Amino acid sequence: MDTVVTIEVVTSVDDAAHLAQVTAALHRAETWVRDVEARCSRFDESSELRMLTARSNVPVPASPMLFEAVAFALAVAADTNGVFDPTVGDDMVRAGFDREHRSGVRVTPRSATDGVSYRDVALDASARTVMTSRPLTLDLGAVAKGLAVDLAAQELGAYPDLAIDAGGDVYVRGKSARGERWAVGIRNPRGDGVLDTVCVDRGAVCTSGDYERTARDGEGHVLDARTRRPVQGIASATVIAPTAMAADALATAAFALGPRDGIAFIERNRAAGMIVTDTLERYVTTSWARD
Amino acid sequence: MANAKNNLVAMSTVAVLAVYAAGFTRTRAAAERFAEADARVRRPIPEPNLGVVDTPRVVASSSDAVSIKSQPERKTPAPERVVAAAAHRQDTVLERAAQETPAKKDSGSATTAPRTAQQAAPVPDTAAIRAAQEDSAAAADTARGPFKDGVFMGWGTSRHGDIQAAVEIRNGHIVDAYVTQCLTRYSCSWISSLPPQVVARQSANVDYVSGATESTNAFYYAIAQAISRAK
Repeated sequence: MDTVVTIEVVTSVDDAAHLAQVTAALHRAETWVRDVEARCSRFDESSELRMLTARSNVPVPASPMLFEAVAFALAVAADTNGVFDPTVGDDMVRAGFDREHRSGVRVTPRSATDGVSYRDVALDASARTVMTSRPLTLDLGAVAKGLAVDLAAQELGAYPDLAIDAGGDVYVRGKSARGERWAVGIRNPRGDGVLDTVCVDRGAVCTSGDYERTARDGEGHVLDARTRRPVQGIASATVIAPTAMAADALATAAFALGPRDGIAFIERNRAAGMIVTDTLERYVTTSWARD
Repeated sequence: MANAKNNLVAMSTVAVLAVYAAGFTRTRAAAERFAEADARVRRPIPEPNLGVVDTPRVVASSSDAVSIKSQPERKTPAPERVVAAAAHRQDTVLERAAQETPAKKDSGSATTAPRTAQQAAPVPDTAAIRAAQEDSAAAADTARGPFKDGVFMGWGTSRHGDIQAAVEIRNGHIVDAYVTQCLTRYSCSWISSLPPQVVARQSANVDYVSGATESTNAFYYAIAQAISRAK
């Protein structure tokens, strides 16, 4: 996942016992984040994710966490007819995303050059197994980070006012320390400052932008799974949804779908969103609220 | 394709609850072990005004030979901070914990390096004060703010590099805030919306930015440290 997670809990009780409680809850939330990272890394050979696809044509039992994450990624793939596809892992490597940021560990593609798709992954919900029909690498990048944020938020359920920021995936609920609704800026993908600011009572604001980790030649990090090449012409896509997992995955998918299909896709899933093109043209859903 | 039943947003909500329900016992146990180990190295919640810093003290201009190492691959995770903020009428406690997700296992025990509890001074929220009034006449009329006058600097760290920021205080109020050194891998230009918020709110509590790298946090910590030195 390779990011820093910040959790801010706002509480009006100021005594040592209460602070100790909050600190303990923060530890539990942190444990979730670490757990997601450990299981879902595509860079760590020993991660559960890598184990899952180590062999083809064998049903491999998955933990509830990994199973749900893969199931959700496949559902987004199906909903976008494969424009979003978690099996782009090897294409990510070929596009230059072959290094784990921190350790610098390189990975190599496992699959043949083309033809791999989400249809090569079969789930058995009752046995909770995952089976791949060909060698491939799953990339849960657009799902795992959001899931980590959601699990942390769930763990901190006793606290109505909080904000969680995982490298720009922002989840908020309740009020800020200033006693106001949380305001979340949307980064201007081409210039200074923020493009827009949204106020959110409860939910996640996630943005997928071409300024994120660029590989070679300044190409963006989102691949159009149909062409397996980085998406062109889009600068960023933002989605507001009840969960960070949905917001992140939908933003990534909308980025790949482009303005027209992307906005329709977000609307269909009853989320709110904004897509910004290279030339800073904005496309928004009807539910996009600006304060 | 999506209908009410297989709507992706609804599906994600169900999935999160399922994962949480399946794992919370195990996570709780792990967190307790972690907290136990952590308690041995963690100081008790520090009192306000402690102003503990782990970065070089910067007293003059940035042309001083401040030997700040760029430490993008710090072994020690980002510091956890507790900020006590007296906001409005009630005492509002703001707890802000930053933690880095664990590094790959191959770095061995380095990933379990102890974390340090850090303290930034209380940050009174006096949003009503129009500190931006720099007119000397206007400033003289304004009630004195809670800070020491002068220019104070602080460092904030992120894995993409460090940010040094300064707050300028006149008549006890923050009248300016700016980035003095941007050692991040990316340009600091896009966080330009944040310094005015520091002035308007008289505090380090700037908005979160969706799509941002960790630089927002680095800026927050830099300002929080600078403000703690102005107490």
